[in-house]
Amino acid sequence: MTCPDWSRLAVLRDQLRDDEPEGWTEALEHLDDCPRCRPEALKADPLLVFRRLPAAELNPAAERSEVESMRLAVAAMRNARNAGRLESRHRFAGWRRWAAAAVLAVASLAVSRDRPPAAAGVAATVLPPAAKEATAQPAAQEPAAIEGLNRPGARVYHMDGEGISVFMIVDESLDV
Amino acid sequence: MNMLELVYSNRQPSSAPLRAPWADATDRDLLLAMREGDESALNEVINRKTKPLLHLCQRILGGDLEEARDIVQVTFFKIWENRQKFDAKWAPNTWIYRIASNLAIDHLRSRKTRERSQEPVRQHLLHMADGRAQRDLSRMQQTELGTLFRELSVNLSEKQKLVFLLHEIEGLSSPEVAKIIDSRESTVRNHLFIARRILREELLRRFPEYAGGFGLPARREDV
Repeated sequence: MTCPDWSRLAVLRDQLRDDEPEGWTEALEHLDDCPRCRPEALKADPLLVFRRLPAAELNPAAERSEVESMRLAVAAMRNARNAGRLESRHRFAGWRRWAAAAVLAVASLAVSRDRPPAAAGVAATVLPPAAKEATAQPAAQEPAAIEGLNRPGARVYHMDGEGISVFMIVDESLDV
Repeated sequence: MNMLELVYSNRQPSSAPLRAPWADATDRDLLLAMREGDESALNEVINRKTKPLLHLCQRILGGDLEEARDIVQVTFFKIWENRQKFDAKWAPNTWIYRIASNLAIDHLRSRKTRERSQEPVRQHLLHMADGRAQRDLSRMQQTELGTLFRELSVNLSEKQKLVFLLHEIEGLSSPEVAKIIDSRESTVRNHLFIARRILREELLRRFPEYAGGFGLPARREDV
């Protein structure tokens, strides 16, 4: 292929500003492989010298080795990231357990405070064992309506044990 | 059967002669398969893009191959980490080049901060280089050209330098460059015009014998 007319192409390119003259791309490809017309091209537009800016010359074997080491390096980064994620998930799970326990404790406390004085009075009254069983059983079978809760969909379960009183609130409208 | 299904079916074991599993897949197919979590697709992306990305990053970073390797490595990692964000409507190359060039520019910024303390020394070296008899431009070695570009492009903004490299050296079109740098095409053209003007002025100051071509750079006052 004959060398392109660089001075004509460069002038055209400068005139067009936003577009390339016809044959410009082919001329550049020619320039990359033709040291003969390089001086002529650079005289027409010295910026063309930067077409030869350094870039790693990779023969097929070197490229394969480059790709392989890149794969290994990226895999190592991904493994490190996954290990980090797993570790933080375990750490977060521990905190989550503590947070759930704290929420239960606070809920239990809040419901205890909301208990009407009458109910508290009943609990405080000393009854014979048989009578105590008779009053406790219906409370366990049917959810108690706690005053002040003001949530129609909520159910409250109350379990009494020796020295411990546990309240559980089930409210499907809450999105935890 | 769409392309992705075809590619997956090609990966089934068969009696047919062995061929690269992703040989017929486009870059878009690979990124879509990656979105589904296919790690072999990532390997194929690495296979295809290592060389062009190394070249791009090496040029942005002024010729340092080791730094370019680091940037390309992080680019592939980011591509994998952000694979769900890839939109099939986007041109894959644009998306990949955007990640790589952003990382390279970030790296340049941090390097500039490190180098700022060495500024007086650098200016002295530049002055010395100016005073030395320089060789013929057309016979310069690639490493010399890298140094020359690094010195001259100090006068360009990051965007101007990136636009010049992507458009003039990598051969991307203005619309592609606009997507990569997240700007309008008119902005790209302005960056390119200014970058060419500054680089040409600097080059002709050092190599005045080349001013005889189509003359000193044209001025455009409306930029």
